[in-house]
Formats: sequence, C-alpha cells, structure tokens
Amino acid sequence: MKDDPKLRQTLQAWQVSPSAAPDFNNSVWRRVTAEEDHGLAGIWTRLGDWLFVHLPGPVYISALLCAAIVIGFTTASLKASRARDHYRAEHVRQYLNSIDPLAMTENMPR
Amino acid sequence: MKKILVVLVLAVAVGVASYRISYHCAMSSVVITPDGTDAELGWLKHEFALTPAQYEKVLALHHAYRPVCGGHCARYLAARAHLQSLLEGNSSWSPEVGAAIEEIARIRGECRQSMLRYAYDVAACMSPEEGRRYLDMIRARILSEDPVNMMGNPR
Repeated sequence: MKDDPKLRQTLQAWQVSPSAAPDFNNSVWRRVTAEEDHGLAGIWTRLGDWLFVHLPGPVYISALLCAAIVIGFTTASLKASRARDHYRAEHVRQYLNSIDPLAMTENMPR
Repeated sequence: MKKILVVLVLAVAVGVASYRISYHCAMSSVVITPDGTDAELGWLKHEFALTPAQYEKVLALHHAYRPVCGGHCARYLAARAHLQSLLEGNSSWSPEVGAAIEEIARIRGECRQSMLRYAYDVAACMSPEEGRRYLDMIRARILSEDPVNMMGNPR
C-alpha cells in the first residue's frame, strides 16, 4: 500500500485550494487599522529596540564616538572663528585709538 | 540599560574633549592683550609678522609719537572747551565763535596729518606687502570706513 504508484501519482497531482475564512477581509482591515492606531507606539518600540539592543554594539558605538568628535570639532571651529574675528577687530580698534589723537579725546571725560 | 548609559556618557565626554582641544588649538595663535601701554603693539607684531628688528623700530616710532599724539589731543580738547564756553556765553554769531570753529578744524587736520606721517613711517619698517595692508587699515580709519574689512587677512 505504501508503494502504490497510483496513489503516489494522485497525491503529487493533488492541489489544495483552501477557501478564505468567512471574515478574512474584515480581519485584515481591522489589523491594518490597529497598526495605524499604534503607529506612534510602534515607533517608540522600534526606537527602544535600536537604543537598547543595537546601539551598544561595536559598530554603532564607533559611529557614535566619531559623530561626537566631528560635532565637537565643528562647533569649536565655528566658535573659534567668531572669537578670532572679535579679538582682531578689538585689537585694530585699540591700536588705532592709541595713535589717533581725535579718538583719544573721545575716551576722555569732558 | 547600564551599558547604554555608559555609551552615552562616553560619547558626551568624547564630544566635549574634542570641542575643548579643537578650540584650544584654533585659538592658540590669537594674541589676547589687555588694554594698556604697548599691549596693542603685541598684536601689531603678530598681525603684520614683524621681525624683532622691525618691531624694535616700530616700538621706537610709537614711543616717539605718543607725546606728539598726546599734545594734539590736549590742544583739541582745549579748543573744543573754548568753543563750548563761547557758545554758552553768546546768543548770536560772533567772529570769536567762527575763529574757534576754524581752530578746531585746523587742529583736526593737524591730527590727521600727524597720524598719517607716523603711519607711513611705521609702514616703511614693514615688508612691502604688510606695509600696504597696514596702510589700508590707516586709510580706512582716516576715511571713516571699517578698518578690519579694509586691511584684508594676515598671511
């Protein structure tokens, strides 16, 4: 019976066409709606997963440290550039006031 | 949770260290001098890349010019005070007021000439390129423009 070629042939040719559950469409739309309602919660969940699961990994740690270095360097460069301009303008003003008799009179009490 | 806190604290520490080191390196060439005698010359030496010999000459010129500059300043203040007393004592035009105004204008002109002569002497102590940049700064002051924008950037 186990080696019955006719039965084997019949089983190989057999195609199952299951019919959808009676409430299949509604069920799908209910799940889509439920997912949309919980979209924000889903984002937080994914963010939490990333933060607590992926971030402590070596690749993300390296990227985070590199980003911290770049941000620190860029911020310092911008601030130093502004400070240099300020000091330069201040020195120009001080020097010119020291050689300009008319500017000297501005700084004296009247 | 503990690991993520350690990572975040480490990232912040690395960022702060990066900021401090970069800022320190970027500002190391800036001469910060307090107000006072010769303090501005320290900046001049750095800004116009003066050699020690050039700086000595500029220093001597500056010290020689100071009393001249102070004299102009005193004369200008006196002339202005004189005009002020005339204006307060007169309610109509008088030739004395006209003369006082002319005197102030004359002293202002002398101040400008004196400053310009000093500036040409100082520029002559510098290399030709730095001297030009220095005179651009002086010209801007005389023409009441922005001297920082006029003089360009140091090399």
